[in-house]
Amino acid sequence: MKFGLFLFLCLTGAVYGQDTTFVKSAYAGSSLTVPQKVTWHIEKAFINNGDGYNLKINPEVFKPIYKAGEKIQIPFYTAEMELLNNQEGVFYFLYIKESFVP
Amino acid sequence: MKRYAYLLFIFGMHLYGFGQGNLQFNQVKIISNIDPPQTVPAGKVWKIESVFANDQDVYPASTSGSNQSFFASCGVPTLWYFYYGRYLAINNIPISFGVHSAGEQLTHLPIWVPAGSTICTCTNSSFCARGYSAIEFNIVP
Repeated sequence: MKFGLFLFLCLTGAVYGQDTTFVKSAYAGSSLTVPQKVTWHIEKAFINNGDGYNLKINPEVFKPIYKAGEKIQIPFYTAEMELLNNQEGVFYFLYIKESFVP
Repeated sequence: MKRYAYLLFIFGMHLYGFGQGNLQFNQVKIISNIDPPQTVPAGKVWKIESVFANDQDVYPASTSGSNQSFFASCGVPTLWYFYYGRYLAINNIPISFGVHSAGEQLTHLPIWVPAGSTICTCTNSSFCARGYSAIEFNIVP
């Protein structure tokens, strides 16, 4: 039973070391600041203009790693915005992997 | 038991949160009305952005129509048409993208077409669209 619970927690990511993955949203042109004692790696990013779907963008618009205290500038424009019907009020969904720095 | 039910709920919510469909640009397509019927591939979705006029862009308002078989090659049965042009048939539904003389666009673009759908063009009438353009997206996790 305990092994089953362990397996379950592994699958849900609850026992992965000190790395966590989460999603942050931010408006185009805004910025985010990486908290102290962690680094952020943006695994994938999407844009949305309020329509019912997210559009995946080229992750190379972001650096591979952002260090603690570093500011992430969210691009005001990406080429994928041309695929949206309305380019106003675009916001980003960033899938971020956070690693703790000892 | 209650504890496991709670964990199961959390796990279910976890899956729900990541189970939403996201899109990724794949390619732009321009389809002519002499091309064969197009089926949207599995795992893709098409966004029809434009439908090309044939010999006219604005069609006179009509108060009467007739039975026509514009899409017989795709198996669409004879239907009653009101003669507003720029027709495509999506999943056997004839759709006019014309503009009638009162200035109203009959079907507003874009149109999203899901995987497995068939888009048929016709050539046997001036009311057939000359073609259309679509953006193909991958459905990604």
